[in-house]
Amino acid sequence: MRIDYLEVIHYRNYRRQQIEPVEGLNIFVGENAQGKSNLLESMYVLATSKSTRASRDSELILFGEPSASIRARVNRIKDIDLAIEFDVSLVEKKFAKLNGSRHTRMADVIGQVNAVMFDSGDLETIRGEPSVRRRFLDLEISQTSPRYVHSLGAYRKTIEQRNFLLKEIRERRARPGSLETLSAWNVQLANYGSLLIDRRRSFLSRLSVIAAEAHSLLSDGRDLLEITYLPSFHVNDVSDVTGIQQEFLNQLAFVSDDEKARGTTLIGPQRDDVSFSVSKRDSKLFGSQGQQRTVALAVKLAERQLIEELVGEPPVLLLDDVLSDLDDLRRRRLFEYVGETGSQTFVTCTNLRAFPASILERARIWNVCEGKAEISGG
Amino acid sequence: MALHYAKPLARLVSEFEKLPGVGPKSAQRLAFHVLRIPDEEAQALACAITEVKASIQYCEICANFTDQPICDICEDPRRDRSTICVVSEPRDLIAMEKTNEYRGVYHVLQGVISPMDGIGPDRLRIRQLLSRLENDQVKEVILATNPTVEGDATAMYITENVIRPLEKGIRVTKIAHGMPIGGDIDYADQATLISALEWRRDMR
Ligand SMILES: Nc1ncnc2c1ncn2[C@@H]1O[C@H](COP(=O)(O)OP(=O)(O)OP(=O)(O)O)[C@@H](O)[C@H]1O
Ligand SMILES: [Mg+2]
Ligand SMILES: [Zn+2]
Repeated sequence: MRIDYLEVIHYRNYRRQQIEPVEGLNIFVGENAQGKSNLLESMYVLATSKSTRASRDSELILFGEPSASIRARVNRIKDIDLAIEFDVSLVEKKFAKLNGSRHTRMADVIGQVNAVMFDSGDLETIRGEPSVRRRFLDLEISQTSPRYVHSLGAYRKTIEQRNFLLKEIRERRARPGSLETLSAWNVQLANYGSLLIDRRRSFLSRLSVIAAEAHSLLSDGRDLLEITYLPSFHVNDVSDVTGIQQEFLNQLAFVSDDEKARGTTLIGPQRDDVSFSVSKRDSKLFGSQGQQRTVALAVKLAERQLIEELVGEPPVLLLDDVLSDLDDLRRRRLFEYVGETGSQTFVTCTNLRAFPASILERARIWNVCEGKAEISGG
Repeated sequence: MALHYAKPLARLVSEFEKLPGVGPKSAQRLAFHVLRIPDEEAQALACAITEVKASIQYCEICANFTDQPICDICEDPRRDRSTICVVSEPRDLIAMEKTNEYRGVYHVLQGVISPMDGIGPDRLRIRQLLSRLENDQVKEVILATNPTVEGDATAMYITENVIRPLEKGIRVTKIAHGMPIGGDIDYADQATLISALEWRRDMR
């Protein structure tokens, strides 16, 4: 997958900007707050219909303007050309255009462009609260499994109802007969929860193998990355969803009195965590800045590969502020790795000295300044 | 907003607003509509509302809405009393009846179990169902609650806590959830397709 042409209009701090990227490495260089990340963000919007940085679509519109557009020409496998456009407006509903035809249902256009984005926020996956890692799991698995999306919604609904009931039981104000309904909620909880656990477990086991490879390359074989699923109860002995479901019910029976005393659900995917350890040490607790960044990067590179396997061609790779904290060796390894994957890559930086000379030769470089990007004459 | 209206009008608007699916805008439109229609029509509307409240009651057997102690379906000697279809709302019963296919009888729960809404089994017509199962010769119970988290939990509760303990060998079935007939596969939402796959069956 390759973006051949990108145009943003009244988007963030850009009035109008056109860019023709190359197949390999594209670099946006400039001082702080000039609009480098904004360009990466625009390509992420092409893939997912929304930005991870903006809480509202209207934030994408240039101050003082009524609407913003992001347009691109994309070349997919087998030389299929795709014209894609996203338009956000202060007055109208957001819409997209695919080869000229208009769509307001975003589900119809998401995934036409595949992109993987790395930014500083991804470090939170490593060092943040467990809830950040659960959100990471949900986001990743949801992209490829509608069934996961459905089960996740149903599970959340179930746990909300069940917690309500448990709270009533604790406060001794449950309606007559309500206590007996708990077992029906247990069955539902185990039913949806077991699917979540099963999918998280298999996703992580695949992710950990690929991420370990990428990590080993980045760290020149020095550090061993291990990603481990930490479910709220052991599922090592059960291999399938039915087994997990049964184990879930067993565990619920164990904690039943406790749950009634505490008035809340004590086990299940809502308490899952993931550990990232480098050479047997938990990176959350012991990792240096550079180590944590390397782990986060390895996870993203693994994600890139998973998407490639799924869609059959390399997704676009968007690397924002990836170079800080990495030493020269890791930088060089990163670009060697990325070059071999065949993913069209976009990188931001404040200084070209961060790049090995051999890499710069083959890259297209833009100087970004106050909402204008100009190809660097070299 | 209601302050801009004359008092009786404000009262009508605020009564309309309490109706499900009616927002402030529609409530206003309905109220002005009532003002414009002839007196007889307005009277007829008011009468219909008072009368429905005065005459409609729950069927003593199946808890459906009826204007007699026992509803038409439960009275009908041609209906098969050995099969009971359990639905959560009267409107679900009406939908089933429109098919002209089902010959058994019904039981209307008048809701689903939902702790968040303060609805436990005691608020549903479950005791009535239990006494029917105890006293009548019931061979099969068809559970036709909605395929929601609450609907499924209610179906589960009725199966495990109401029917199973009777040990009468009553067959319990649940209606299938899947593709709409005559619908296009590429228009079906993903949850529906997943369910249709799960409930697939052998070609005969
Ligand atoms: N809707 C908007 N309209 C106009 N300007 C905006 C809008 N949203 C963001 N900006 C401006 O865009 C600039 C930030 O751009 P961006 O995040 O791309 O910076 P950057 O070049 O990546 O900088 P850094 O090196 O600090 O990461 C800020 O000056 C910000 O005020
Ligand atoms: Mg930036
Ligand atoms: Zn009846």
